[in-house]
Amino acid sequence: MALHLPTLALEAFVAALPLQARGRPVALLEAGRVAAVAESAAVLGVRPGLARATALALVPSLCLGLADPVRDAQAQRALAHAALRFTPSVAFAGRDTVLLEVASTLRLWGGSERLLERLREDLIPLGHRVMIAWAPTPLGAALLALAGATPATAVPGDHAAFTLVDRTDDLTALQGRLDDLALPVLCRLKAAMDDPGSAPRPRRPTAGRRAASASTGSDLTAPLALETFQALGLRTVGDLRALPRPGLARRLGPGWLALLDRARGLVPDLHDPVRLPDRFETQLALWTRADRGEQVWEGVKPMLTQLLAWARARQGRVERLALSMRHEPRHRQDEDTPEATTLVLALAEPSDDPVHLGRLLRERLARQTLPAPTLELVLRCDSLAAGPTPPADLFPMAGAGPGDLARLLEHLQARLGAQRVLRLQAVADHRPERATRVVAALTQPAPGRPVPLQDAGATLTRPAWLLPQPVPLPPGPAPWAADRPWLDGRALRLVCGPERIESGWWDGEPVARDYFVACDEEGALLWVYRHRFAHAPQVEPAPTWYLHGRFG
Amino acid sequence: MDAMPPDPLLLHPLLWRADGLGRAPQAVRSSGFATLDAQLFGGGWPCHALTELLLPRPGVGEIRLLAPVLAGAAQAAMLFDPPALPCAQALAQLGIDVAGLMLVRGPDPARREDGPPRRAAADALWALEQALRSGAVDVVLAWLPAWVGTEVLRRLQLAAQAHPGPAFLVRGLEARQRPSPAPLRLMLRPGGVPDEVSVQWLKRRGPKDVGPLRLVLPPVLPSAARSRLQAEAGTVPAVAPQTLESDRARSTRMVQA
Repeated sequence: MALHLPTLALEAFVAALPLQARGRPVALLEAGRVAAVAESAAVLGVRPGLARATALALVPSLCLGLADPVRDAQAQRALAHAALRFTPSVAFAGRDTVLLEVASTLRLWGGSERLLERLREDLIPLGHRVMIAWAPTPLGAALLALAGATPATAVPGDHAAFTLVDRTDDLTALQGRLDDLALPVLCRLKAAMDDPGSAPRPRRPTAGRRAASASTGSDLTAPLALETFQALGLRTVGDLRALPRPGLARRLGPGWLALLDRARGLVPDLHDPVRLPDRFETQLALWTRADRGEQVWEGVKPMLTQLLAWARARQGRVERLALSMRHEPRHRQDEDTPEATTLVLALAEPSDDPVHLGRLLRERLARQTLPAPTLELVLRCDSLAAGPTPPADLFPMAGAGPGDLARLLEHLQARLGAQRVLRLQAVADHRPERATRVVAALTQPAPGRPVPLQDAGATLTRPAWLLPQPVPLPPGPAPWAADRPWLDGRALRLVCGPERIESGWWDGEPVARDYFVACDEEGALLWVYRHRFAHAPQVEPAPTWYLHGRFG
Repeated sequence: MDAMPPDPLLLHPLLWRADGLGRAPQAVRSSGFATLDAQLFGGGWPCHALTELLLPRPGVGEIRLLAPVLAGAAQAAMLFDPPALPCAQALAQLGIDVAGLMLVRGPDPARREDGPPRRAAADALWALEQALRSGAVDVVLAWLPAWVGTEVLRRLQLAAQAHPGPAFLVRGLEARQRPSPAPLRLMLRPGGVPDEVSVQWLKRRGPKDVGPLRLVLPPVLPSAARSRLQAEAGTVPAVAPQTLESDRARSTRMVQA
């Protein structure tokens, strides 16, 4: 089976555009000339091969991007990763075609109809127009898919579409279909296969990629071959095959005949399978400079989709990912500005849910302040949790399990920060201000449930609200100054106590206090104390009462 | 023969007789206080809805009043923007699972990284809405800033419809005159004697101009100290008023009919 992406380069470019530029006509430039045109621009008269100035004169609002082989390769790689879910043998053919061997996994996926349906579900989020052809040989399928993607039969509109253009299950039928194929299609495939920028390629292609295309030996290059075919009066592949083979081999070179034989199934058709990298890394250049974290988000979305395609192909869930936003040197105001701002997202619960990951990244980006504008993003992931997603409930309940709580806490933490989403922890310490500690909510709680009050006659000994700092109460009027605490101009009654807490002499913060439960006029209970050595003049000149808590 | 007029209570679940209590259209959660349950429509704190508690200040007994429902939370309970740090020992003594209690801290002027206080408070409200919407939290208890208006409350009430348990909003007394979409609003005051709280109805499905209800809370004081104070104050211990009990009995009879 072959997946051909006729407008891959354009779609990869559009995915990184900010929202307000999405509606504009789009074209890609390569070496000063228009190389690819979206349909929105084509209807306005922009054609491939026009000079940049001509295209802009035709359509002033044209959004021109530079063709970027790395970007295209990343998009094609993401498609291959998504396809790896369906079969272990996936290969690239050229820069815009992915080959899948599905005969061996057809039974697993329950037949071709079901497989196509699932494939469609997985590929649509990547946002590419996909032409699919199904044939007994990989190159035969690629040829049929290419033939189906000629502009005349292309689906109108720039939206993602998923079209099964041709399907041939029988080798003889395939050979008949190939004989009817126009020769330019064969030339396009040959050109794509000769392009060393395709297949298992390095991350950044070396310069002079075009010049290296002569490396395939003595084969005639595709444009020259097309001229030869026209000179010979050949139109279809069948015409070509009718000519004597030794002569053809001499004229065109052996590669052309080998290609044709592989497509026709006469010789084995072998391809280098795509291998999954252990670490994921993708980069993207933004269309406009982003000053704030929110603006980065539009560019992050397609990268995240690619990441998840990789994670699914590895049958894992993302545990940690890092997004670094590189700052251009000329926009760094001073030496202190770092080269890149890196945002690390570590998940408590590994996830492969694009909605959840997107929400977390978005909240984090909204909080992120950038020291300088950024134009280049790199998304990395090297930490995957193995194993598929835990199965969802058969009958989804309204209040769901602990996974939902973890997701909620992660979501809150992404916006508020870990220092504001907390969990209480009891500490064995007699000093009240040290007996309660807050920890980040996503840390694992200590096991064991505290023992509640058992018998009905027992009383509470600690107030629910502990003031962050004990508040010294102002002294009351002279005659009663020492023996009663005063609050808001009224005397408090001491109704219970004292409870002496004397502890902490070993760690430098000793306390020696006598705690009382006090009652105000309305009957509300307060927790007050005074220092045990309050009468000692070296501690305090006059004994002071402190308010430390309220019984809520 | 004249047809009997239909029982108005059968027309719509939200209809109730002015002299009785409304029925709760949705699930309720027992408050743990029998006298209070008898006064709450449906017999407990409403789930899927907001309940407003209006307090003059923190520390009138609100935690002890809500302790049974916090202790009975099926999943996590969550506190939003509490006025101070809750004391883990006190909560444990009330039977609350401290490890299952999440806390979203509100704005703290001392912490610069939280941003301006107003924004930090808005963030806490956002977190509250997300928690209500997610349905992953069982009991929610939130302290609202004073500037919160009706539109925020309406949003929260909508979010609370997806929330499986009760959701309590704690506000100041100044919110008393302002409208609110919460179906249940109570005013809590200290009960005059220690370890009691007085509950006054501001809004409920049922008569609201009955006198305040006094509830005996889990005690702080030993019984000897409490009875001494009560003797001095000359008050009788709080009991469930008989008339309210009969109200409740009548309403159940009508539902059965």
